[in-house]
Amino acid sequence: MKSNWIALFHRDVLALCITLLLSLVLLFSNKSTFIESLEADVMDVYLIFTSPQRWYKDILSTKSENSLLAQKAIQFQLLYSQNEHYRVENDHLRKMLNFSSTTPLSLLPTNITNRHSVMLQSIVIDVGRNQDIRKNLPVIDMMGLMGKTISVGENATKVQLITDKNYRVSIRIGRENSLGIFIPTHGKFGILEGVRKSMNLKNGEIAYTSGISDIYPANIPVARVISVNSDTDRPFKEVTVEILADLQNYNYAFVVQ
Amino acid sequence: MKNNKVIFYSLLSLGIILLQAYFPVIHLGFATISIDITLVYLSIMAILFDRFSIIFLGFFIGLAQDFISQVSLFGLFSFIKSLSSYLMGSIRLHESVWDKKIKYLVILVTYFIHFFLYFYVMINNNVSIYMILQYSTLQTLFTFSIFWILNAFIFRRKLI
Repeated sequence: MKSNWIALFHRDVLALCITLLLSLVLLFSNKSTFIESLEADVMDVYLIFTSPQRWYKDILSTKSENSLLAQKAIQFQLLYSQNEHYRVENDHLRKMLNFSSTTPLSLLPTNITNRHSVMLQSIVIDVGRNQDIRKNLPVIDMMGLMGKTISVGENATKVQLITDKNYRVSIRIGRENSLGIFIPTHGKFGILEGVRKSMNLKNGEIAYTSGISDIYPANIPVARVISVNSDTDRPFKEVTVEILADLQNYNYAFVVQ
Repeated sequence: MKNNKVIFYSLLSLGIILLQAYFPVIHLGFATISIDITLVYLSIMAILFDRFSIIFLGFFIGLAQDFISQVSLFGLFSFIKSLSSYLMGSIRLHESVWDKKIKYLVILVTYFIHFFLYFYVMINNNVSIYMILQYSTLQTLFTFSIFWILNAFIFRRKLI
């Protein structure tokens, strides 16, 4: 009886060791092309299974979203006319200074399919290679940066959220356009690293993408400053920020192409 | 007969993963709680079936979760789900030895280890251990309450 129990124990320990080893192999090789292509295929299948969720969500939320969007549309219309005025003025000034005009962003609207999954570090959107989506394209909502595309299937794409542990984005902040790095911490919060102590920074200021990286165009809002601490031994300020993108009630996103 | 069982439980596991995708999240002030239905399902399976199969079930369910929700830490869920299955599998091994309280305690501790490991790996760089403990405890309590409700009202206290 006792030897039987020990044999059972060993069999279980062996199973545990095998599965833990496999998990560790996956954990340390998640950048391999095999894993990436497998992820893309799983995304396509997942999209099919979650289509009823999108259907009922769309039906339930259409009315309330419609009125909300109408409000937003008016606000954006006002903002647009103001920006249009600035653009004309800006173009004029650029021409005067012989600057080349910057390319405007092209946005592709998408539905988010897995908004209620457990402990999300990624979302799945319903566009893929068929809509010319590639890896490493920024994804935004109306408030700010949400993340970037990470594995692309035929009709579905996995997006690494801005809250993911390994997510980093170069930002500019303040009147001096000082450079820094946004690093997520927990929930909707993050920190800005590399912001000089000498810089004058206040709560409420917005950090925008710097445009330095190949992935993100400049001036996408990323996060808002909620606390600044200069009393440290380090040469940089400790800046805590709140992510601007609405990561709790999202339904739609835009891929910047 | 055995094939039918395998098909049934495979479909059930797939259903649970889908249920997880459809399950609502709870916004509680600073924290967002999302109850891990797959962990509750694993607990029930660990009590009903032998530990050897449950470890592999945990691994595959974790892998499915990794595919859906992980990017940079792919493999984390399969790791912690396998470990949790192993720990919870000991309830069945000691079915006649342990009383109700110990069995509940084992599940509670396993849930805590599961969430603690998850949050520790996920956010340990930038927040205090106190915050990780807070998150893990909240997740554990909510997920455990779902298990308790299922045991009390659906399984009529036959599980534990």
